[in-house]
Formats: sequence, structure tokens, C-alpha cells
Amino acid sequence: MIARPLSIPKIQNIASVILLVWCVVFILLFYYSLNFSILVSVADSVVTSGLLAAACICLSNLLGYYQPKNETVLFVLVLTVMLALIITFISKFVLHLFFAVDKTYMSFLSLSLLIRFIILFVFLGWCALANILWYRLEEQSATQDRLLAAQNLSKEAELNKLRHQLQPHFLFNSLNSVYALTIVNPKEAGTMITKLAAFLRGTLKRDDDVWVSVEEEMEYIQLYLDIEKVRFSHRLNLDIQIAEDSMKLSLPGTLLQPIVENAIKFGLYNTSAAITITMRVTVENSVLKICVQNPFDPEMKAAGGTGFGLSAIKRRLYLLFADESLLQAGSIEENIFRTTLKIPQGNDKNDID
Amino acid sequence: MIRTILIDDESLARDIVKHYLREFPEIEIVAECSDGFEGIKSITQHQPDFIFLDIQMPKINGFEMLELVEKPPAVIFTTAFDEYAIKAFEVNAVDYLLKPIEKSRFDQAVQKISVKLNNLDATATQELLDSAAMSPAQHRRVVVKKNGVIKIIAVADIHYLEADDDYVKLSTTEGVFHKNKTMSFFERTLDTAQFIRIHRSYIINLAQVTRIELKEKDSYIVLLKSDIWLPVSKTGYAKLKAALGM
Repeated sequence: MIARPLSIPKIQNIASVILLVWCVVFILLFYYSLNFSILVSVADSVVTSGLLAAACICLSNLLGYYQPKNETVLFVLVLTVMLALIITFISKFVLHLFFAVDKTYMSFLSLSLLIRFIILFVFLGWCALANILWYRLEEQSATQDRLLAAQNLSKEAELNKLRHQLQPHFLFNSLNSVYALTIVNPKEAGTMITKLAAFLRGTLKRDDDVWVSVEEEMEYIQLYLDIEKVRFSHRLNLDIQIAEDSMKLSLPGTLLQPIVENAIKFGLYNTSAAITITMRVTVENSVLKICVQNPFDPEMKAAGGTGFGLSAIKRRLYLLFADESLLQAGSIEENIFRTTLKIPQGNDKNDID
Repeated sequence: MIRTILIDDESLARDIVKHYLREFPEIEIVAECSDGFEGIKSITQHQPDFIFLDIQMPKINGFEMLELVEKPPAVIFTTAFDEYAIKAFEVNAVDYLLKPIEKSRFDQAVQKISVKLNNLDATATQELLDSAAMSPAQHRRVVVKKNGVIKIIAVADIHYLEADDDYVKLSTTEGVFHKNKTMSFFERTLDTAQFIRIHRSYIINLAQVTRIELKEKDSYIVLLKSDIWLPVSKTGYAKLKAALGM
């Protein structure tokens, strides 16, 4: 909400001073230069100035509520002329009521109507312009603030996304494993470093809009699993089968990794036993079908609360295909969890080349 | 001889610690464990002077494990990345090592702990566990031990909590358990949208409430789904009313 100029104490003070000075100047003018009685001078000045002040307040608030997009000049002109006319005639009517007997003053009042109108019009016009300028400037700075806030928000979101993509927990644990390997098995350490580097490079390339071939995606997933295999050695067994005809199909580069990550998280991180993660990549009616299976501890799932956290992937599928049912997940046995991802290979998909 | 136990689910991570410890002949590794359950057993059996403890481990994490140990030994925590844990360490000035572990930091921590062993302060560990309980994972579950069996209870399965001397009694779908924490600890850590402290001695799960009745002037009682009546204090009634939107 844009602040009204008259709601600001400093402006209230200045406006009051202007009103007071304006009043005094006209009292002195009437009394000394035109030789009217003090009563007439004060009454004329106070009535006219008071009405003018009231009109200025109305004008300021009105412009705060409504300003025409086009034809601002015409709008302000009509408005100020009308207000000036109204004040002129009200003041004449009121003063006439009080001082009808004072013939000299009455004739002066009638003669000065035009000059009164012009003075009021100029003053109101000035007031309207000042208000318009005020509102424009306020609006501009408000827009600027909003823009800045929006920019900050999107920056923060970007940063969070990056942080998540890097998976700091995985990264630092892997670095720790590499470090251990440099001591116990230096040759293996070299292999692990290059794998970690290749995986990170792949991570940085990922984007929702970029489709990758199954071949490329599975290489990336394999790197991830290889690194986890070094960390957990004999505890992690992999059973991966990829149908030959699926290799050239493609999928968005951000979908499979979180599913495999989930399988590792619930299958491997949550148990101290040896486990097997199974992956099957097949083609069914020209739809790419990827099936990931991991064991889990039913007791842990109950206490975990959030289930298998696949809602983010569903949301992404909805954005990409408007179809959340492409992801099916659930336990197939008491302690086996299966996630199935289907990717239609329509003509409308982006070229992978 | 100073006796220690390594508790970490990754054998390579334990390898580094073992490697570094070779330079400390006065420290003997009496056991290696790959999860919290093993850790508890091993600590009870060997009574080590101090332990190396990883935070993120299968089933129960390092903090939850410590809660279940009767007399916890001195601890050097090791963690790769866990904002909440690191915050808890900093607040409580506890020794912790970030993975990959740097040699000089390791030596420092081990030397410091050798000095500390003589005047071990149990309250420091307790305070650490209290602040570590602010992590989101620990809002959702409570780990308890009953007849030597460790049980992980989902917070939603708790019907109500009752003060019981030095313990808090948890009444759940699967029976009654005791946890050596205070009522105010649970009042602080449980989700206030779900759990309300209705009385000095009682915190209830709102989902369990079936009826509230006036007992005497200014004194109410509440009926839970498990057919148990609990007293409600005056301030408790105000909180209950607000939470239920009455």
C-alpha cells in the first residue's frame, strides 16, 4: 500500500504552516490594503482558506484512490476547475449571508469572484500536480522493492536447489572414503576420484528441460552406485538389467537419480545388513519403463513419517507430462519397495541431439 | 591404557580413525561397531573410556544411541554433513570431527579427550542431547528401550505422556515405555499443534481426545480414545481450548 502524503507528519506540519501563512497574508491584505473591518477581513480569509484546505485534502485522497491511466491532464483540469468553482460559490454564499448589509464589501465580493476563482484554480492545480508526482514516485520505489524481494527469493531458491543437487552428505562421505582409500588402497582411490568427478560433472549438467539417452543416464547412475559401493563395499549388491532396445530411448535428466537416491536412502542407509538394489529398464509399447526395487525395514518406515518422499518427482512429472500416474511406488512384499517410472516416447519430446 | 570403541557404519571411515590412532599407543580399540544397536551392546560390555561416534547411521542415529546408554562415556563425534548436529556441537562446545578428518584436528581432539577423561562431565552430554533433539528427524520419533529391546516409536503413536519420577512414561499403541527425559523437554520438542501439556504431569496427543468434561468448579477432565480420564489444569484447559479452536 502506498502511503498518502498527508499521513506523513512532516508534510502535515508543512501543510498547516502554509495554510496559516496563507490566511494571515489575506487578512493583512484585506485589512490594510483594502481597508475592510477586521471582522470582514478575518471572516473572508478564514472561510476561503478553510474551504481551499478542505478541497486540497479531498483532492489528495482522491488522487490516492484513483488516477486515470490516460488523459491525466484533462482529468486534473476538470477536477480542479470544478473544485475551484464550488469553493468560489460556497464562500460567496456564506459571506453574503453574514455581511449582506455591508454594501461596499458586497460589491467587492461580486467584482473579485473571477480573481478569486483564478487564485483557487492555480493553487488547486499546483496541489494536484504535487500529489500526482508524490504517488508516482512512491509507486516506483514500491515496485523496485518488490522486484528486489522477488530477485532475492529466486536467488535463494536457486541456491537451495544447487545445495540439494550437490548432496553434501553424500559428497563429504565420499570424500572421506576417498581419503581412507589413499591410505589403505591408493590405486582404488584414483579410480574413485575420477568417478566422483564424473558424477559431479553429470550433476551440474542436469536440467528438467534436457532429455538424455538411457545409455547416458544409466552411465551416470552407475557412477553414483559405484561410489556408494566403495563406501559400503560388501553391503551393497546391484542387479541391473537394461534391455538392448531401450538404450536409444530417452528421458528427462532429473527424474531417475532421485529415485535411485531414495532406494539407497531407505534400502542401504537404514539398515546394517547386506542388501540388493534391483533395476530393470525395458520398453513396453514404445514406453520406456524403469523399475527400481529396494528392501526396507517396515518398522523404520512407520517411524519415518514422510513415506518415501517421492512427491517432488510426482510434481515434476506433472509439470513435464501432466500425468502423475507415470510414477508408481509401493511395497510389493512386506519389506520390498518398488518404484516404477514410465516415460512416454512421444514425437513432441525435445531432440536429444 | 585408554580404551575406545569406533562406531561408524562405513568401514573406510573407521579405517582412517584406526590409522590415526596408531600414533597413540596408549589408546586401545576394544571394539568396532557398524550401527547404534551394536554400539549400545558394545559400550555396556566393554565400558570404554571414550568412543568415536558417527551421527548418521542405520536405524538409530548417534544421538539416539547415546540417549539409550545408561552411563555414556566421553564422545568424539564424527560427521560428514549435518547442519543440526553441527549446530548442537557448537552450542555445547563438544569435540567433533568433520569428515574427511584432518590429521591435526584429530590429534587435538584425542589429546583433549585424554585430559577430559579424569573429570568427565555427564551434564554436558545431556545438554548436547537436549539441543540435538531439535533436528527434524527427532521430532518424528522417540527411541526407547524396554527389557533390553530397543524400540523406535513414531510420535503420532504416542497417546499421552506422564511424569514419573526421573522418567517420562509414554503410553502408546504398543504399550507403555519409559524415557529418561523431563516433561519440559517433551513439551519443548514435540509439535505443539499435536501435543498439549494439559497438566503439570500430563502431555496429551490431541488426536486422542474424545471428550472434555467439567468435573468441579474450574476443574476439567479429558477422556482419551484409550478410555483413560486425565485431569486438566486451569492453564492446561486454556491451551487445550485454543488448540481445539473452541
